[in-house]
Amino acid sequence: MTLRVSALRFERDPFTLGPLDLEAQGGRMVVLIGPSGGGKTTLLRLLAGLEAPNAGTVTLGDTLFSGPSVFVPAAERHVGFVFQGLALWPHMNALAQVRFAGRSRKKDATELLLRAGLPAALHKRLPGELSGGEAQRLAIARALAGRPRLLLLDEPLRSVDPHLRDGLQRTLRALAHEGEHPTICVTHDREEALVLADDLIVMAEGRILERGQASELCRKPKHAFTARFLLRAGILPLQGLGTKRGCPLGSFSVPEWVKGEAALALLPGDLKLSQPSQGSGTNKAVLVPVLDRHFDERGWLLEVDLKGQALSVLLQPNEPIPDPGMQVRIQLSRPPLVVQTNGESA
Amino acid sequence: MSMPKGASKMQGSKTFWILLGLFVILAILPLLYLFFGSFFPEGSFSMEAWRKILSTHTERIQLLHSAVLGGLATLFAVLLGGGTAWVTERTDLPFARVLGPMALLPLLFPPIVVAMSFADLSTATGLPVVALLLGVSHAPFAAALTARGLRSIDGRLYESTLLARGRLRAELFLFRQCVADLLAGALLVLVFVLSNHGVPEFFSVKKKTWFVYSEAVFLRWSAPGKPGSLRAAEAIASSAPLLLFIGVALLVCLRARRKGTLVTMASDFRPLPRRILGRGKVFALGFALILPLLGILMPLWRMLLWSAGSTANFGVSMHTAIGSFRRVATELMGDLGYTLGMAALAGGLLVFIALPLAWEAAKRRPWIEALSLIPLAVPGILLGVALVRLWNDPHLPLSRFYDTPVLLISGYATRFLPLGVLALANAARRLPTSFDEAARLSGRGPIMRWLKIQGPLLLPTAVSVFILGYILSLRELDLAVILPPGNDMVSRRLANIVHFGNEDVGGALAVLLALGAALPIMMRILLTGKAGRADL
Repeated sequence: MTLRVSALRFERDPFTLGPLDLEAQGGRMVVLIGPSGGGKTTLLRLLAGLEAPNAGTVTLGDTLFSGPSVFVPAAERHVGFVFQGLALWPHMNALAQVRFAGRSRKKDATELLLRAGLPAALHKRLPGELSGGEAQRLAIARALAGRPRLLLLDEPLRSVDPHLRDGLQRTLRALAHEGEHPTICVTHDREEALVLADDLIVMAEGRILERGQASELCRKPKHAFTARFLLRAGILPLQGLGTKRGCPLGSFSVPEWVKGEAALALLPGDLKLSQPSQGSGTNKAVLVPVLDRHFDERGWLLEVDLKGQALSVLLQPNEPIPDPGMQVRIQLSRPPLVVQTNGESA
Repeated sequence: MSMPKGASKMQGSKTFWILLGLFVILAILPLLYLFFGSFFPEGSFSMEAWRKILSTHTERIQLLHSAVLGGLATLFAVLLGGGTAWVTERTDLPFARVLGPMALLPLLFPPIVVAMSFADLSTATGLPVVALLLGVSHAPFAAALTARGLRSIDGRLYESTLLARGRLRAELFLFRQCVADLLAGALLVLVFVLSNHGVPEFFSVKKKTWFVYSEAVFLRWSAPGKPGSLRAAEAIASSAPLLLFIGVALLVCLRARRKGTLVTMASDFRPLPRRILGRGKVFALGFALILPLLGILMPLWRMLLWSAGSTANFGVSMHTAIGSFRRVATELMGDLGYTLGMAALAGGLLVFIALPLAWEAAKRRPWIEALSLIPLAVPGILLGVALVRLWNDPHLPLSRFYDTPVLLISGYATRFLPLGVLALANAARRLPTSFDEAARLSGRGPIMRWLKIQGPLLLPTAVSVFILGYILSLRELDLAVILPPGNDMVSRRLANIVHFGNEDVGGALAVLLALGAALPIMMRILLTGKAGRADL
């Protein structure tokens, strides 16, 4: 079962979503990632039939959900939805929620709750009597209760404590892979996206900026936004429009697929401190002020300012740690990624 | 496949339009009928009745009396009701969980009974006394709405203001946050006080001290020697300023309420922190007891004494009390049963009409809330007159119900419909849309969604609205006086019995009426363990 979205557009002043295209295969999890307000939840609501698009088509398998003069209401789409706030009915216990949502027998509902990781002792509890993680598991079980043809998860782990996430992520992955339904998950959490995604789609301002396998996007992002959002890379714009473009750190070859403006996506390990004698030609050393410094699992990181762009430099273990306000010389330690800064990448 | 969503919408719309039509027939049509009739008092067009508005000195004085009385009674109600809500919701007052709901108990006795029991204790009379008694009787509205306002404020907002700007600013912020609810409560009190003619009349009869507008409207209607149509024309014309005043006040109240905070069931919410009273605890406890003492214990005590023969020459005795209750049981039990039955049916009809109207008001058509306020904007007396004029017209099919309880039940339900619509619309707004969306996605139809999701979630408020309609119907004197099927209502019987000097029976009847009024609340506590809240 494949979900196909074509030229989907939705306008509600002042927000516009799309036009966008999307494909999600059955048994795989597509994760939509991007900043809040980027249109991810709206896209899920359009797929679920909770909003009607202004244009475009949505097809699941052979069924046209929405298109010109066609709109299948939410109640007839057989879509499972885990809402951002969970939307668990406060007056129904866990078992009753699943039975109502799936019109299922007690035995089936109990099995589903157990599969979602909710122990039998909790099945008679009201949502208000469950912990965040338990409530989340209930919401997942309820979404699966009607044997959905499409599973939509809107920030499914948002209110879950970090130490409970691993278990829930395993459950979500297992549930997404064991069925034939496509699963689409929305998140703005980078770690969560990377753990859950078979396919990753980066969205911002109502548009899809980049898509691909999670590992691919992390290794070689093509869009500056993706590099910044997924890899926390610093972005240094490149000047010019040709195949060779320059910046204070040197000049670089721009790949063919870059349409329009390009930039360097600089990871902390891409930059190093250099001595006055080092740096020439295509790998120039520049003098920059230190804005801040902090320590994380990779070591000491310096935040420096290069032409108004904040970049991170990873210090070597034995290097002295400059204070904020000092001037340091930096240069590239390895070839950087070149990314596109505008439009959707190929 | 194409647009089947419309089908369920159409079905819902049909029910809505039918009920809106019923509301128009019950509430709007009688008033329109009366309004246009006032231009044709004797078959031909005449502006005579309207020309009289404010043309005389007496008329202006009465309007001034009403405004002053309304203002003062509202002030008392806000001080007592709002103050009690503040100490029970905002402080560590002992027994706050009991004292809070107790502030609502004065609704159990009709204002006239509170007035009679006060007159039994003291010879004091005049404006301050009438205002205080009406204030006490209606303070539960101010208490309920202020408490609701305070419960809706997220404690973190208060705490952040406290940390940033200090105690005084934080309290001012709190006041600004709940002023809309306080104002709504005050205006509700004002509306009921302006409509009340029983208490001012009672004190006027005792000593000619105070004469208010609603009483003048009633006297015009019941003026002897005038044809009915002329009386009605004068009644509607003379009540126009009052109607205008109340209407504007209600719209202001609705607007203020909409600006208030709204906590949905899915909101991440932290209640306000409670302030430590310290030594002020005793004073606060005393203050919180004023309303229950004046509004429920005083009338209960005096009415029990009446039933025991305190007003007769031979003194108080248990024997007399038993005899009084026995007389009520043998002679007036039918009336009491009839009264409770009428009130229960009125409460039921109120919920039946208010629920779909409130749902539409909350989800799609907010103008319904403003429309539903009309029956409350009209003084009870005038609504009664309007119902009599319309339902007594032999040319209309409604006339066959004129002498039946249908008229009375419809009158009560119409009168208190705004409270039902406001409370239920507020409850419906608190339901997150995602609750219904989750049910829709599970493939359930609109009826099943109503039965399993919205219905149970709105049920506590619907029960509160039923109880409110029931209790207010028991208290309502104006409609009972005007509408023929209201002759046997206990509120009217009580006034007559006391008027003719049978205080012992009157006392017993008043106590039983209060017990009857408390019946659904007691049943609710027994069944659910909670008294419930009228979230107006």
